[in-house]
Amino acid sequence: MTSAASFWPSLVASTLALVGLAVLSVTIGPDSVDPQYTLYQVRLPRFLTGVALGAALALAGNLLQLATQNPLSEPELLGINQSAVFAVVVVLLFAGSVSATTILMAALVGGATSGTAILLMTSSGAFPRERLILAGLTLAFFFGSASSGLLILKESDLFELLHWTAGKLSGAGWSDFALCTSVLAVAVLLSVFRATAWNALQLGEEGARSLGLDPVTLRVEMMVVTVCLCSVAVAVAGPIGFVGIIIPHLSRLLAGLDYRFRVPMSLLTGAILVAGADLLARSVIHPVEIPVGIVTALLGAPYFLYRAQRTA
Amino acid sequence: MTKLIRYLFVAGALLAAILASLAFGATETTFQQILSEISQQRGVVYQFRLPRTLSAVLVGFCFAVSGTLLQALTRNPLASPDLLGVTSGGGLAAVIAILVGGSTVGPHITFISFCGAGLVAAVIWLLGHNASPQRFILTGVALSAFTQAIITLLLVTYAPSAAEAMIWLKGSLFGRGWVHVKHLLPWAVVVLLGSLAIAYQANPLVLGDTISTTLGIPLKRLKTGLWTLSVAAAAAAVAVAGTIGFVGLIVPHVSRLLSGSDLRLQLPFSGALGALFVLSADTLGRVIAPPLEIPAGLICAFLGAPYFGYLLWKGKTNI
Repeated sequence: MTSAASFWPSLVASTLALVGLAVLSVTIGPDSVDPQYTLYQVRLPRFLTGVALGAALALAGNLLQLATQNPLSEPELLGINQSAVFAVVVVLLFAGSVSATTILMAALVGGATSGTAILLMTSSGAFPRERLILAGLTLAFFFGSASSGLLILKESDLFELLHWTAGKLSGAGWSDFALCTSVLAVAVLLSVFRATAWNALQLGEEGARSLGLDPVTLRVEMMVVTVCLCSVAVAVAGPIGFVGIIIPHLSRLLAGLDYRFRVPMSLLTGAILVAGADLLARSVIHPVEIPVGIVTALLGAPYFLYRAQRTA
Repeated sequence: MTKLIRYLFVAGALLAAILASLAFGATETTFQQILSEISQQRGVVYQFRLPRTLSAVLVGFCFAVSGTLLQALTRNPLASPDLLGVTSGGGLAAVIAILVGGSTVGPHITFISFCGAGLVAAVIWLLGHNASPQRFILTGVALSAFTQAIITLLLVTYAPSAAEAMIWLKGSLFGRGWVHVKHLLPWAVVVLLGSLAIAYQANPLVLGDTISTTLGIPLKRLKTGLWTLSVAAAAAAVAVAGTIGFVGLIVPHVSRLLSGSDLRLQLPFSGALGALFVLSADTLGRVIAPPLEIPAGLICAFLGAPYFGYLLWKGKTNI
């Protein structure tokens, strides 16, 4: 397999777009008394966290679609994000003040719950597309209503927690950036070694087997990576949905089917999407800040509709 | 004959649940007290508990019938009004009404929410009615996601006053009165009669569009009818109780176990079981941890989710 003809031009274009976005992100915003501090401690880490999260979520979306063999799979629609959120809300509610590590662990355990359920559901291979989405949505609905039910109990922090459950990047600092980047780095490194195997898995389980690969191991591995990426994103910023449905299709359009090209393209476009959505979210109706997860959902839901009209 | 006995059993359980719901509460009441208060049309039981109980019964009935019709229409055992955007349409309209009109849960919310659910359902129908059932479902899913995003946006932007709206969204029967019963009853009757009238024609739908057409069924009219009835039921229920989930998803499966797949028999079973489910959830929510009330929607989710998991596990390939 080779890259699509549009790969290199769009790679250059999106790199330029990302650089432009970086400049805009660090310059746009209210004036402050200490420009130095605002730049290095507020805007730059926030932008970079957005970039790392966007790349991570885009990669997670690609892997989830491949692992479930379903072009409409997405961590938010299949309930991975919501179960991670639920676990974090439980920990916050019953443990009071907790460290960032505890939150991360809770998110991982929660995300793994839905991840395992989805793997089990799709393991028979005969699970039709729209049914997987409906089953996943039911998981999402359950965990979503459970966590908002718990949230109502914790009225004192309702505002802060509500913002977090909508997916926000405000207040992201260097430690958040470091956490996202380290997990992302491991996942990207893995994708370098696995890209050819993933290419083979696109042919379906039989195709992968005939090439001497074990599809079950590959799928479990992908789901583990997906759950890790999504849970870290949830722990840092709350659930940011629909990146995992827009980007895999976009990157496939721009880079072709080969994962050696699709992964870098996904990372770039995902970064642009989330960082751009965050810039939009904090600058459009200025004093009010919209959580970035809402912006991506408002963009992603119509896109999902468009995709569904074509693939189902 | 066995089905009649089963139905009598379900009806008996529902009756017992109604009596329990009337008896339990902040002040204990005896059976005689309940009877005398109802016959004299005064007192705590008549003014507060009876309308709430009846609302729960009708809400459960409507959600369950709506889910049954929807699963027949889409030929998909996982379809339900909560996942297809009907209830979130009602939720969005109600949230707007609550945030704009101050934090009072009044009769106008019922009307606005009913209209919201109907509006979203109309959009789903316009976008998806010519497509395959799969696309129709996915269209609903997309619209549901979109309305959910707007709901979250509103809740976050107006967070200080959003607690009321969030409680409404959880689905609760707290403080529902006679006005809500009056709103629900006509819809429940119309939907039940209407769906029983077309149930005979809807039965062959499970065999697919082609065979149904060969059997001389006016497919387009039938599907429009099923969707309209199902949306009317769900919208009426959402408008009164908020987004109570899992009833429309789970109950049709249980009723099919008891009645078989003939819709004419399944619909009455669904209605009774749905009423039983929501009423028990509401009663449970009142008595578990008084004076705190756990919203019925939350209890339905916690009771329904394990059964849903079991369904998925049992029928991995054919659910």
